Amino acid sequence: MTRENLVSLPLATATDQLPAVPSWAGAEPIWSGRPVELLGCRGELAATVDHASRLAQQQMVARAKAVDLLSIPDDEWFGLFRRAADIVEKHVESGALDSQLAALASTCALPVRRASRGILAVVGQMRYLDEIMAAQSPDGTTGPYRTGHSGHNWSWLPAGRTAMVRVPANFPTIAIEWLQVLASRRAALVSTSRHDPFVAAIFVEALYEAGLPDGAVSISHDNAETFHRLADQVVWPGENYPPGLDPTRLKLYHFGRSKAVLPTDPGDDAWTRLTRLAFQGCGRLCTNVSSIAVSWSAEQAAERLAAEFAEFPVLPLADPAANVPAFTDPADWDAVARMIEREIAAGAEDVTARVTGVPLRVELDGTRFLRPTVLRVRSDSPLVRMELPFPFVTVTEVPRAELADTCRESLIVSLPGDDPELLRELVAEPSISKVFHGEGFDRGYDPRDPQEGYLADFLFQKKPVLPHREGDPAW
Amino acid sequence: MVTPPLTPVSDEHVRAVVRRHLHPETGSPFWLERDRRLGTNGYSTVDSWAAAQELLAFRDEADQEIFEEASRRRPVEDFIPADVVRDNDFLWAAQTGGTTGLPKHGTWGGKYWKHVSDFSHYAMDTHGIPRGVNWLYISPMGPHTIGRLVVDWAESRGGMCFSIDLDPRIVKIFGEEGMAAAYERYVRHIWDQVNAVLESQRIGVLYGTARLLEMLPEYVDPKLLKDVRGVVHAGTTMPVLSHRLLREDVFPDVPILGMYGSSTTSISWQKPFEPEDEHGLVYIPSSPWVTLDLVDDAATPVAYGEEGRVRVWRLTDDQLLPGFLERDRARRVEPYGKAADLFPWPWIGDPYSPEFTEGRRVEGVY
Repeated sequence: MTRENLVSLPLATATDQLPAVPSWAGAEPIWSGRPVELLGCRGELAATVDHASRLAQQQMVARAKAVDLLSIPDDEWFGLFRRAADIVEKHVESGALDSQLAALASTCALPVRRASRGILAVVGQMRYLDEIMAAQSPDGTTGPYRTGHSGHNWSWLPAGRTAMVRVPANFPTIAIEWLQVLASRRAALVSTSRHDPFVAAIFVEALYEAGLPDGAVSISHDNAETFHRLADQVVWPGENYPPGLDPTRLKLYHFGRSKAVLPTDPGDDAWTRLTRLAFQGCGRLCTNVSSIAVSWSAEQAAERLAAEFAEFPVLPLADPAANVPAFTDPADWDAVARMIEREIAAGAEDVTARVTGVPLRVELDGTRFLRPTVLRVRSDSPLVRMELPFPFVTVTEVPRAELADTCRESLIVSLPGDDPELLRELVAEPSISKVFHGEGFDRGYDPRDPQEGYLADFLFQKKPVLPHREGDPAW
Repeated sequence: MVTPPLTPVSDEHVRAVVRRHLHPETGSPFWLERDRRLGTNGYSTVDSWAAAQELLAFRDEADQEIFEEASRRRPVEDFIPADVVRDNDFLWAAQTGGTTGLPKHGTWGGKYWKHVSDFSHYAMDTHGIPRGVNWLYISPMGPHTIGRLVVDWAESRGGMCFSIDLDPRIVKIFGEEGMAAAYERYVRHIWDQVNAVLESQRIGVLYGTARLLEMLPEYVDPKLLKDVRGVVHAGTTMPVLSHRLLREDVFPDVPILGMYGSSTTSISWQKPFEPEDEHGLVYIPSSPWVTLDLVDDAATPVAYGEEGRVRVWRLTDDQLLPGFLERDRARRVEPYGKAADLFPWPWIGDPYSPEFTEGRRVEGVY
């Protein structure tokens, strides 16, 4: 997509172009007679969205159970995802999705250009889904997903026939989660969150256009109670999942609280890269650095970071240079702001306020923002172990001996520079999922990396079916 | 063919009902007070349906609110002519659902009950709901009129009525206060009870809210439904797709009959099912005792095909309701198909309650 046509996307949606987003019962789009109205971040009507009834969801589950995804050869299977990627890319570039992208940006309070780029990032990942899936399989190839043959004395079998994936509205790139489920040849039941029905619908439509068998994926927007009950497995974002879900068939994914540890000042280039890490995905990703622990001067570190943050001002969401997300729900905006303001009242320093003079709460064109913020806090501040949905980083000073302990329960810990002793401590900490260090400290997210393990570890089980005779099917 | 027990509203019917309620000596205290307050002198001036609509209808929201609050706080006898209180064979004390505040009280007198019963049996027979079988009722009992009605229907059609009570008021509280776990537990409680009845009893007709029927295949083994030969539903709207799936997948070849109603709007039965309905639910109001208009914000009836707010006229001996604006909305439908000539007054299509759908916060089981 060229910069020019990205710029041309307006945030507000004209009424006559109001997107109507269907549910998908397999390859069949469903528009109910009385769709739900979805409001944008300025309170405007942004789209109408179908709401699949429980019976419709049951139909989706039935179709998912009936579909055969194992008989498709690997080349054809992954070629299908590449064709779908081409379709989406073409639609984005031609402007065919402009009204949906504008609505998506508004309902998710994302800069328009960033939302579009998020979708294109998923397009890119779909082109090497075979590599992503091969990395997770027992023999390093895509074959076991189709055959169950592990190359060992056990079979690699799906732990169920259907999997529901709840997709949060943080940022479009999160779509890679349900795409992996589908790519593993598991029928996927996608449950979108209220603010983003668009991204899943865009990709599902393209997948069926590319030849995906009917029933391989279905979408229920917002509520999907029937999926919760009937899906064999459930993949749920964050840590707060609906009551009644059986923990044995539930995987929680992608809560972040990613951090960086700086035993020494890492130098100018590292500060720029750390800032980029905080702004990736508009600061809405689990991989964003949300807290930095230093064993030298937190005051100096916070000033360095705040100076870099100042390069990313709050801009209208339609501005092509915008990187800062807004808030759709005024109550969420107020709640997050109050959390920070309470911490400041308790002694934390809003370093960004000192460096830029810009207030925390910013309202622009009727849209509510929190400006990118660096907050210097004590190590016992609750914000050290939180991630907030915009570029926000706490900086705290702790003795070197406590650096690793400060990073407990983090998805990613970044360690710029060379510190083998600290690296060993971080690697040994079981509640840290990934450690990136040295030159690769800002590697961020690569779906080929394990992240809280591999998704395939949850979707499949090692099951000996013995005695195994030559020529027997794996399952 | 059996003659349907409904007729268009006639001037004679209106005149008789109005004069009973506004009779200077035996009229309904509340309506007589209003008549004096507004200076209508309805007993003498209302001699036709047109005159009733012009002179008696609620003037505005404030006028309607006076009635609503009175129906929450005053004895029901204040709304009934004294001779009706004395002469009716019984008066059922009806309550509204209470999902919008304190319940309102009203009555369904014996004569009116019989009218409703006649129309109900006519509708059920027309649709093929069997006689001589037991019913399982999964809906609000207690103070809710529909509970007593269904027991009456089941018994008068030669069966017994097993029932599972629902409390839509507590479900609303669960929804509003974010008590998701309590809601889930309540739903399981309902289905545990349903399964217990289905496992031990012979059930031929199932009655449930649209919402519960949508859940049913998730919670009930299809083998337990093998004897079901009729399904009746009411409550919130049933989506077109759900209606189709119920008919085609869940209960193939079993008659499924929808009913729209409340203590206020009485009962409207689904028109005979025809392909041109496209699985939309279209209902026939029970004229002349109850008429349902669909009006715009200026209280003007909307055109056929347009959506409007439901406005109710109840014209029975025991209750007068002059153009009550309900919360519900629906589409105004011009009669069509086989039943058009039998019921030549406006029908309503796909009614719904906005507070049950806006933001989908209070969906519950009702």
